[in-house]
Amino acid sequence: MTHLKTLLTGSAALGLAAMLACGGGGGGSSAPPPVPTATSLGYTDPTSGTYQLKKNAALSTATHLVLDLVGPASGTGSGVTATFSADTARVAWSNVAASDPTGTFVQNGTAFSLGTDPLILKGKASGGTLQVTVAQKGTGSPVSLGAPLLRVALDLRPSQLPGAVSLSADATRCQVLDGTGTIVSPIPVTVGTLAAQ
Amino acid sequence: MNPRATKCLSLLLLSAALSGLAAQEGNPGERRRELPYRRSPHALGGHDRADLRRDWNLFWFGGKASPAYLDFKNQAAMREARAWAPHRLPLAGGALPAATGPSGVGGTWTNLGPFSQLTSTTPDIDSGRPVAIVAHPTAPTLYLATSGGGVFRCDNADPASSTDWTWYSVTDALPTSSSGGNVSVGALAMSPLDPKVLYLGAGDFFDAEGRGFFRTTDGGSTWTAAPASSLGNATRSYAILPLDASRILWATNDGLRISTDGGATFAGATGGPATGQVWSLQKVTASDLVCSVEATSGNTSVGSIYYSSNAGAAWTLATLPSAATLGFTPGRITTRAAGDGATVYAILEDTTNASSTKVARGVLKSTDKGVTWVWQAAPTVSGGLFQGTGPTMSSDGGQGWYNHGLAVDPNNPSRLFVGANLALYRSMDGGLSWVQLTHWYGSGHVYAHADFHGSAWSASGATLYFANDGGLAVFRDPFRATIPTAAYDLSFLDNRRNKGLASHMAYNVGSTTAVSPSDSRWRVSLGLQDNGTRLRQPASSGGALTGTEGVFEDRIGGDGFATLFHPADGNQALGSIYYTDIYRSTDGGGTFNESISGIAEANNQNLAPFAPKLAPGDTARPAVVYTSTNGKVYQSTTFGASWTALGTSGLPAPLDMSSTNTTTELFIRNLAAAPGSQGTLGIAANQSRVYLTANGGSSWTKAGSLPGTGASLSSIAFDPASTSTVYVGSVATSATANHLWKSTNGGATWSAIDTGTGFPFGIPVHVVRPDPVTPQKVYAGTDFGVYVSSDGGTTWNRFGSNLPLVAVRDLYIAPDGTFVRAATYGRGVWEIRTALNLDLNGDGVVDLRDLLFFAKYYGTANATCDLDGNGVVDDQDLKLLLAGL
Repeated sequence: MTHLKTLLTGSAALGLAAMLACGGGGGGSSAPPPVPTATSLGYTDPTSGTYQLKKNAALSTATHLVLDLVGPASGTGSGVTATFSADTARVAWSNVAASDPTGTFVQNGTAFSLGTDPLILKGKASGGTLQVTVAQKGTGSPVSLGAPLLRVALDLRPSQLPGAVSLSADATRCQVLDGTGTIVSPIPVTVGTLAAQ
Repeated sequence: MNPRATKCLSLLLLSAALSGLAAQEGNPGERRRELPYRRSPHALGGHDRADLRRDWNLFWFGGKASPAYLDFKNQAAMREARAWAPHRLPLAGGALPAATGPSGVGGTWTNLGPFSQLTSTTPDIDSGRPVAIVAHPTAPTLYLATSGGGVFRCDNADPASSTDWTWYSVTDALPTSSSGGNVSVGALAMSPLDPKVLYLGAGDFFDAEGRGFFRTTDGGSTWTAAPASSLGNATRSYAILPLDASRILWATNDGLRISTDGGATFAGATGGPATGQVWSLQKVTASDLVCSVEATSGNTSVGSIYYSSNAGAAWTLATLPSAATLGFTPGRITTRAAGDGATVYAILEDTTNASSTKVARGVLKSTDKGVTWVWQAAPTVSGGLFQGTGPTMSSDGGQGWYNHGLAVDPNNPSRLFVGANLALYRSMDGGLSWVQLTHWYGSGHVYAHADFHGSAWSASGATLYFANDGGLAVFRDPFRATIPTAAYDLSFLDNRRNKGLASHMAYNVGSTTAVSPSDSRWRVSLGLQDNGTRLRQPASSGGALTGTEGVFEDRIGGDGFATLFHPADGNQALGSIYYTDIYRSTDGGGTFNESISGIAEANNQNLAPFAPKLAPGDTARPAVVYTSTNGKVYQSTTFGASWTALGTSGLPAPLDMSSTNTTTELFIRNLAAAPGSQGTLGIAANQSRVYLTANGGSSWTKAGSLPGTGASLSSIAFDPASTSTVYVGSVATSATANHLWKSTNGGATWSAIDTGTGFPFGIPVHVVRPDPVTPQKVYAGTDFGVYVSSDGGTTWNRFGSNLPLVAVRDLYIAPDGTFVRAATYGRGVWEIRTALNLDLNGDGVVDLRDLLFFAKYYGTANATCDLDGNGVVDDQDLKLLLAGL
């Protein structure tokens, strides 16, 4: 009975609080203040870090945030894999372009040349986690990593209160295939701050 | 819930569970007796048909393999073993590569078993047929030589141990080959001076012939072959008798051969055993020897016994009781010497008094080192060979050439054991009286598999090991005065020690990728030589398979042949036994019932094949399945519930096996349906003929001739993407014949594709299967394992690592490309699970990091990423990987 008693007690208290908030049920007619709803996603790029997740302003809209993973200009490589997490109660991993096949979740950036189909390009979203890989075929032609390596996107879910939205990179599951043909793991990926606003 | 209620429910559940188990399993014999085939009208006393199997093998392979061809195969096996050796070991001093499975492309094979059977209430487990057992004189080490799976070694073979014995192969890299398995063994013996030295004679004494004599000086890690010039024409090994470090006697089907250099070379013996089949060879003293020799003419053998007093340098024909005294003419004779230096016993095949020969009721006994013999007839008791009693023992007397178990107590010459057709018998008075020790399904006696062969004693003489068609039987208390009457008594006879010995001879494998039930893709059915049709079992009764189980249980008895699972329903399965006798299950293999409605020739030994075939229908109609009789193709649209004969227009008249006037009659050796067409079918027939139909059998057209000297066709298959592309395989025992062909114009013309780079030319092809996912990719199951081509047969690679050079009789290629299963003749069933291989970086997780790993090796020959096994990491592999991620 302990838990049930606690629940009933709690419910009664909430009911009382609601009555008080409404002025005790009589006399007043004022409407509750409007609840603010977020209408856009705000993103502040990271200011430091070797691999940074930056906003692609050109491809983003108010509610569709496209993010580019950019590597170090000093490095070369042939491919990258990364894993990100976001609060999927408030945002959703989505295709970068509406025209992408359903469930694509990732686009090639500008650094890599992926060749012809089939491509080494794949994204998988599960819950709040997005895992993406993009790579050239083979290690014979490494390119500078100082350019967008891949693109991912987040959509603002409807009816969200303004405020911060969690977004992170899983450092243990981010790797790069560097210019020597070595898979470097892990690599430090820095994300910016995300907010519904 | 209150504690009392909980306890009551638990007891109820436990009771229900136990009663369910009991109902499901019973005792081992009862369980097997109730298998469908045991009850069928043409069962030979309920067990396998060794005699008919022998004849079938000769028919299927087009006669016996010549010694020259077996030498050719051994040389080819040597090349393959070297080419695909995992470690490229130096071959100094003629030593052969260490005993590890060869490498290959496309992943790593895993042996799925059968490793065990249901044992929760019935502690019996069997394995493939052993031919020889060798016990270490001081250590708990046991060697078991098998007819098709090579030699296995166990180093914790303590009969009293409560833990499982651990077996491992010591001949996986031995480059000797036959269609009967990777290493078809007939004899194995240990040096009396050094237990690390063993001698192996190739060639099973019943089924698959083989070629070679091998010696190891390190307990099986490495082997050295005697040169082919030493082998005479021997293709079967019956016994090896090492007298000392130098003098080795080898009994073969080409007479007795003697080595004076420790088995390095051999020369033919002189005297009586120089020719004929030297079936049995025994040492009475260091210099007094006894052997039995068969002179065979047609199907008739006449046996005799020779003795030697000079270690085999000269032999004298022993005087046996006359045929009049015996009441029969002796055929095969098995001898065993006692340990007293004088006594020898023999059991004899009676070739006179039965339509199927039998082991005669009694023993010959010699007390003068084999010079003279006395016939000691066993008391004749109705219904038994010796005194066999119990149900279904009336046929205890067939196959007198096959069941020759004989053992004599090394410490007491009056105590001997005879394994006759269906049971093991014991005499404690030198053969004057007998008692029955076992029953073939455990009724009134402990269960022991029928068909006894080799035997051995532990060093102390306390434990008797017998080899029968169920594997190794360990008699822990062979002299017990009171014979157990329960179905099993582990302190008396332990049949569990076969656990882990996947030496079964699999003809066919059935599998499915059906999504219902959810564990369907882990379901496996096997058609096994004399081990029935078996299905993989979950860890708990009624549970779901997880893909890791190695327990297989009989569902149909006798010899098991073709078997299939429904492609879209894992609860439907088909099995088969002799003469197109099809059995069907609709409950996931829990029960099978005969399902031959509509097959007019089913169960007709003259008009239906001994080893029937089943072929799945086209992809669009998963319930369609085909089978055949000698001259007809039958279709079922209800996955075997009923059958309808297709038309025969354009086909020759069926071969009637009873006819002595056959010329061009048709015998359908195998058949296939085109996956992409509802009406396209093919027949691989006798006399190297191929027939095709594009209208569901309304009319058939004879395809163009196969180039080369093709014969003994074994398999036919259509490319899933094109009905015009057809493959045909052959098991001809010829070094110059082609064994694999391809047509790209619907059979009008053919090209041999076994000449492609990387293919072991001259080696029988049992099965050919195009890949259902990747165009131009085709697999061939050969006597050496599986080979794969990714360019339609132009170039080939060995497919998968870790599979011994073993005969692969059947292949199942999952239509979604996620796994391949291979039925091997002598080493059970193996699997390459492509989905698991997607963990390319080996971190235990299949995820997109594996895709980055793949990128690193794109364009290379990295075997891990070469998922389709074509030798290069390319877009085809990428497609497979992306599909699985």
